[in-house]
Amino acid sequence: MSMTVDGARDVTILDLADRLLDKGVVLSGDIVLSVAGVDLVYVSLRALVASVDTAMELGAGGGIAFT
Amino acid sequence: MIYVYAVVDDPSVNLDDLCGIDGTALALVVAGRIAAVVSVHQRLCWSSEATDLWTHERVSSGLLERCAVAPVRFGTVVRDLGNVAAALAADEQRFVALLGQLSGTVELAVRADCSAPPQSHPDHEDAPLGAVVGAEETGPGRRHLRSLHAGERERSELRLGAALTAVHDDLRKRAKRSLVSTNPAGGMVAAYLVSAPAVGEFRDAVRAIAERSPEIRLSLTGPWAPFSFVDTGARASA
Repeated sequence: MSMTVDGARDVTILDLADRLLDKGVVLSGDIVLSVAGVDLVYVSLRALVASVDTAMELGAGGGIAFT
Repeated sequence: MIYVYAVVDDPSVNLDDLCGIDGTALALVVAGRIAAVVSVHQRLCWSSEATDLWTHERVSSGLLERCAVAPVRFGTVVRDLGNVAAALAADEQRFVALLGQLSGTVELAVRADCSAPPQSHPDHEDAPLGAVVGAEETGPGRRHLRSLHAGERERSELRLGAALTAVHDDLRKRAKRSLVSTNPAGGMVAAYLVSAPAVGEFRDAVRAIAERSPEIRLSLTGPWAPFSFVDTGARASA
């Protein structure tokens, strides 16, 4: 999405977390060392709350918010 | 340790301008007609920022331009490359079928909520399932089966309210597949699997809804790799 509107950054990060932490192909079994374990999720969620600006600096782009 | 980003349908896909977590180079683990996109690490220290999430996202969305992508859940770390290859080989047929469905598509995310309380729909509220599905005369067994099939969709839409159901109805006909749910506040959280060339048209449709329905707050993000649509039992194990 090409346009970024105030408020869209938080939504983008919310959608990012919703997808990467809760969806996608799951590899299971003894081969897996970790997959979004509790500690990892805690770190990631804490990072999300604190890192909106950092995420945007990475050029991840924004969504579009219609208000 | 092997960090896994995605499974793709091109075992020779070009990875040159993509890099993984901690800036590591990406590599392919090939199993027949498919491959896993991975990075190799001696140790992994997750960033305290959202950096690693965005890195994973950039890899998966960067691959979208080159091949069909089944993105792997964030944080998947496997013991060694042989394990990855074995996991892919064990499920190669399923992955090939899944990637065939996902080829040429992206995921778009829409959130919507009404700034005014949702209008109750007297025909739907408290109506028994099955009565909502269709009006044609059918036997009780068929009505029951239809209600089971449509039940989950109907329950989500009942919670959405008429206005947001109409939004979803407008958008899902522009997508190959869609998933919708409600948040605790009764808002709509939806994902749409859209063919890549149709993204602009979909975005225009969302904009048009926003313009004619100012009481609805809408947000649209994406394109994402199709994280929400890899639900065909594509779990790999070894």
